[in-house]
Amino acid sequence: MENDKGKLRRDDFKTGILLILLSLGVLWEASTYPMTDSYGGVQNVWYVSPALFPLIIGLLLFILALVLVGNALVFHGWSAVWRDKNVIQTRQGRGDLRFIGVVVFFSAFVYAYIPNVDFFIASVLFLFTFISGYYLERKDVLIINIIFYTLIAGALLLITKITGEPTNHWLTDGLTTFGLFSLFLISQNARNEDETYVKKLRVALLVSILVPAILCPIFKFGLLVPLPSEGIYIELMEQIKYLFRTHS
Amino acid sequence: MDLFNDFGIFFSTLFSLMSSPSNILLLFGCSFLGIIFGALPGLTATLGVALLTTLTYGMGVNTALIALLGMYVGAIYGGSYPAILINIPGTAAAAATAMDGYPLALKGEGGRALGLTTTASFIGTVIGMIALVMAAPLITGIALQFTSYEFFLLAIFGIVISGTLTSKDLVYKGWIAGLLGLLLACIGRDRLQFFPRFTFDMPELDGGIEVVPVLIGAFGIPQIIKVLRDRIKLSQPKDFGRILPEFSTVLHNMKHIFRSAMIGIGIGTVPGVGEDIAGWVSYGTAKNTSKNPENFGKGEPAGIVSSETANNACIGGALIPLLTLGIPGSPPAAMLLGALMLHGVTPGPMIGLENPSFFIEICAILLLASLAMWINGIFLARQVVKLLQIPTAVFLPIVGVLCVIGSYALGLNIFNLYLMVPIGIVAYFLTEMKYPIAPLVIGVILGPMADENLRRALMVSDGSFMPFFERPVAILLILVIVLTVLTRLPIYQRLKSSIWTRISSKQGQQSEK
Repeated sequence: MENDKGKLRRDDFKTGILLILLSLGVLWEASTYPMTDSYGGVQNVWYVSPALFPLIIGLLLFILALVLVGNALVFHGWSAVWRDKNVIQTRQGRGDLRFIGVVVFFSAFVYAYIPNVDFFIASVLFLFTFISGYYLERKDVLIINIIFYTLIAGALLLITKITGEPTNHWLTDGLTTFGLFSLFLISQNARNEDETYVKKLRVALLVSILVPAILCPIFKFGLLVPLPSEGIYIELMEQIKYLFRTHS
Repeated sequence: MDLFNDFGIFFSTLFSLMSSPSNILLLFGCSFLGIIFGALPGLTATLGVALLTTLTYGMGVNTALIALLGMYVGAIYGGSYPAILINIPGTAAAAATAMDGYPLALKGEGGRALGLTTTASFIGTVIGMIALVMAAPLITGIALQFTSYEFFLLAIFGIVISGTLTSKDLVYKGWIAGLLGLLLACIGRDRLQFFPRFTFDMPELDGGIEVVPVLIGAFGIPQIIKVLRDRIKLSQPKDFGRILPEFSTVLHNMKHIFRSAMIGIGIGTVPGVGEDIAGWVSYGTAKNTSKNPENFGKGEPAGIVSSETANNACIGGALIPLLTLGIPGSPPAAMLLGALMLHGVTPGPMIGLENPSFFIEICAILLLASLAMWINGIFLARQVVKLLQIPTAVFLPIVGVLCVIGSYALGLNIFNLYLMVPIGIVAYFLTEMKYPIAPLVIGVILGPMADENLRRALMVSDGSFMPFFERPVAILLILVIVLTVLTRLPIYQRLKSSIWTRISSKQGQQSEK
């Protein structure tokens, strides 16, 4: 319990410093807003100024951050806070790779895949990398998945930078599809004659394909929500839909 | 006459909703989905309501509310399944249920425990509904007299009280979270002068930050990270027999049920404080007032009934400030506020004037939702329990995709996703360092209200703060805010203990004489 408290107070010290910097930034930025001068032809008075509320928040945040830092220092003592390595080195150890995995998968999916790749295949690769990375419970597989997913994301960003707008879906969707097949083959090669592993890998692939195959038509055709990026796979779904409509 | 008229509207709404087979299907489907969301650890009622909001986009208001309230009621109840069967509460609201539910399941009476939670949750929701229909017109009547002074103070009160009560570590961590929420709410063009604040020349930020991606990011992503990082695995559910409504046990515990419902409603009305606190407070009260407190924790039915009645009664309580003042009483209610605004309904004092039958319609839907929950609970529990066997590593990435598409679909804006991810990661770190997330979300929701009304109030008084101290409700709110803050300060605690020591020492001296 004492250890937990000690750790929390060390964290408080760090967040307190960050919050002090943030509040100073807020105060500085708010001080540049019109206080008594005119904006858009309207003469300002301090109490109607757009700076008033951010200034109050910045000030309160600054005070509370100071209390947070002060409390941490009272708990550990000034010299102990600085001496302790933990002040600088954050939560290391168990679960860090798993944490990095989730952050990398989400960040790459949102910032690299979604804007540039057909939503269906982007979701399939995201789900397959994510599920197999954690469900197979193998550290080496998770590391391979993180590296592989990041590399393809990097390649996608490079391609879109070179080709510019609009996105060339044949290239980006093609690369993502190639990535999915390659990752599946790599994962299968790492099976080491483990039957459970093979079974889990199949489940991961099946779920990864099924979920987007259900979700995309629901949003696109059921709720009439255009998907973030529509490429060759969504186009294919539309063709299938029209095919059904023509036959019926 | 008004009462008869209200009853007429209530029953006509009830029958008109039930006469449509699609509504019934939607009600039962969403209630079942809610139970699943509540039952699967890692998924919450807030996340369920948030994700479902996306799917209700094309529906009418009443139909959307059937789906959302069905999900909300179902999810709060569903948390009790894993709490009873595997000793892991599906939602924080069901944590107190595990205390006696799991021991009962170990005795081979899991079915009995589930029957008790089902009926207690139903009664809790219905009592909450009655409180809503009785209190809402009264509060809106008072709120109509409110001016900018009261609305500003009400917003601050919401953030302060939510920060104070939800903080598990230092109290000012809750206030810091609230201030961070207010800061996020400042982003974008201000509503009085359209001056861009904290937009850093990014046109996407001009319109401000949307509430739904913040909610999904702040509640969804930290949960996914936490469960996968900490390798939270579910054990095999305990076998349970037939689930019966357990009316006789419920009747036997009527005293606990009414007291717990009142606790749940009371806690629900406090902004930002949700079903989890209601469950614990009610459980604690039941234990303290019981003739046999030693039985609690060993499978005491009164413990199960108390926590489950309170957390479901909290729903009606949370809807009271939401619908009458526009201040959400709990995190899922905050999401419901976003959904209502999406459907063109702005909760607040004017809602009673614009749509006089709105509260009664909500109550009718709430009654249907609790009925659907009860029927689903009694007849489909076994199917839900099967879902508990799905590995978290398989369903959480799916939830991740749902979070992404849900955040995107509400505004059709990829920029919302760009915000959702960092907000989710920051929220994870804040949760790890024991900062509560509810005040942050309440801050984002109430920020514009506080900002606008403070400046309007000062505009009316030409910059004078005196009117804040001349209006009775404003004075009351100031007193509550100041007292809440002061009583949590270490100086006050030290002062209090020194005064007590002096008093007790004086009394000791007098008795010696």
